[in-house]
Amino acid sequence: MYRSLKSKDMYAQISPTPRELSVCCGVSLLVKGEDVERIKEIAEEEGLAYLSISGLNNEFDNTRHKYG
Amino acid sequence: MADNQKMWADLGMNLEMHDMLCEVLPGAIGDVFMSQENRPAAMDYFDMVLADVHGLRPSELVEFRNNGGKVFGTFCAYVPDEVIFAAGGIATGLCAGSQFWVPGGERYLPANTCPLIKAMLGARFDKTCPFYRLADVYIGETTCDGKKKAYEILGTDVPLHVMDLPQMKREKDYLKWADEIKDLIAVVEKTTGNKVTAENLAENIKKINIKRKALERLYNLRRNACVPISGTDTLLISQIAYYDDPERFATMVNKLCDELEQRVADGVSVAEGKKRILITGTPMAIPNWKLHNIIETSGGVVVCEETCTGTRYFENQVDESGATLDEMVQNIANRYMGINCACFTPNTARADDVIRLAKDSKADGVIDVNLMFCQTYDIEGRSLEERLKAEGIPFLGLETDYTDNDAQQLKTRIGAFIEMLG
Repeated sequence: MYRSLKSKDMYAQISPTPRELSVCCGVSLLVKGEDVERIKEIAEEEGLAYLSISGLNNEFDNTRHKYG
Repeated sequence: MADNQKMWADLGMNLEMHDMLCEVLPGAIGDVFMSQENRPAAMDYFDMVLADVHGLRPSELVEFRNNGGKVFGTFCAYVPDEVIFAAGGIATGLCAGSQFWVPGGERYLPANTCPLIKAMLGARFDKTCPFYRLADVYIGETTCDGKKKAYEILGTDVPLHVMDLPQMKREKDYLKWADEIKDLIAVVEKTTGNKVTAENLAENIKKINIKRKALERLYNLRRNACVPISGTDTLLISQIAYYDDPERFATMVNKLCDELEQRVADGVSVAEGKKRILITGTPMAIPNWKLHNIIETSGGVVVCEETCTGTRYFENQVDESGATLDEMVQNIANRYMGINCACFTPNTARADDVIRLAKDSKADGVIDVNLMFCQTYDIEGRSLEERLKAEGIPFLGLETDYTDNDAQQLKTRIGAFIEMLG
């Protein structure tokens, strides 16, 4: 999925799965909200599997300074 | 993802407690890394390794062990990976960079012990890190008093071999370190059942040299006026260097460097108008990104780290001309004794390194940052400051730990320092 989106010059970033979506550390793709419909079409066309596409109200904040 | 849970359970981890760590890490990674703009595309590999830090590499180590392989956990840049890989083992760094593990360590250690050492014990005894569960043997080293005593406690729970690092740099100390490496060879041979030979050692000297060269190439690219990659991203790469497969890691770093060279040629910078900072001091293990994050959100860009998660890890190669096992071991000893850690006396060569690197990196200022209760680095701060002042290089000395409590204070001090640089 990542390679496919990148080859189409679409935004995609490999990210840890947010806690709200999974209790287990894992990998997700961070994509733009406005691209979701197109991504679903691409997945359908190219037979790319995904568990789900979810939106969260989580803004990154590089001045939060919480490091775990 | 379910496989991770099963793997962690099979490794005897405390899943409930580990879950609490999983809760905070994605947010921290998002804030520190994903929020950055204009990152190199080839950071995607390192993002993936980080995003599944307790899944991807551990699952490879599980498979390796299922096929009879042995994993050696290490804590320090002085432990020579070459001999471990030569015996068919895998060396993996055991990070200890999170506040999450500190309270667990404080059950065994005095509170006034450095957070890295406390986190080491917490990660092991709380059973919340798969790497600590996967290492068959731990390799310690006598680089500070706190670690020496902590190894005695760790050794009650896991097979542990301590390398006795000399604390001076006389000729006899170089010979002594070669002897210690021979003792390590005996340990890895006994554990793996494989012999270290001139052939497999020569091959692995080359392999680890290639990895060091890749990191050197990355660091040299940061010296350009156009800084093609942030210090935060580079720190992550240096941290991953400790536990990734060395050949794959070198390939990925070189791939990134190809892109960074193009960025430099195209004049792409992630640090337009920012002040160039060299960091020196104690190591920063995953997920300790505090200083880089604060500096790079306060008008600075980190262009070099003279730390164990920086230049000390990769500067100087092992001489590849050794023909016999003894010559190779001595060449390995010579390379590692060239690292300038504050555990040595005297250690004036570290200040020489900082000055050289500050000039080569065109640093506007140097920040010396030490983990709380790290006495040797703390004491060296004074002489380092004097040396840098004599060279006209602005200097800021800081002490911190893994908590978030002092982030705003650090931000104020670092912000003022960067402002002072004009």
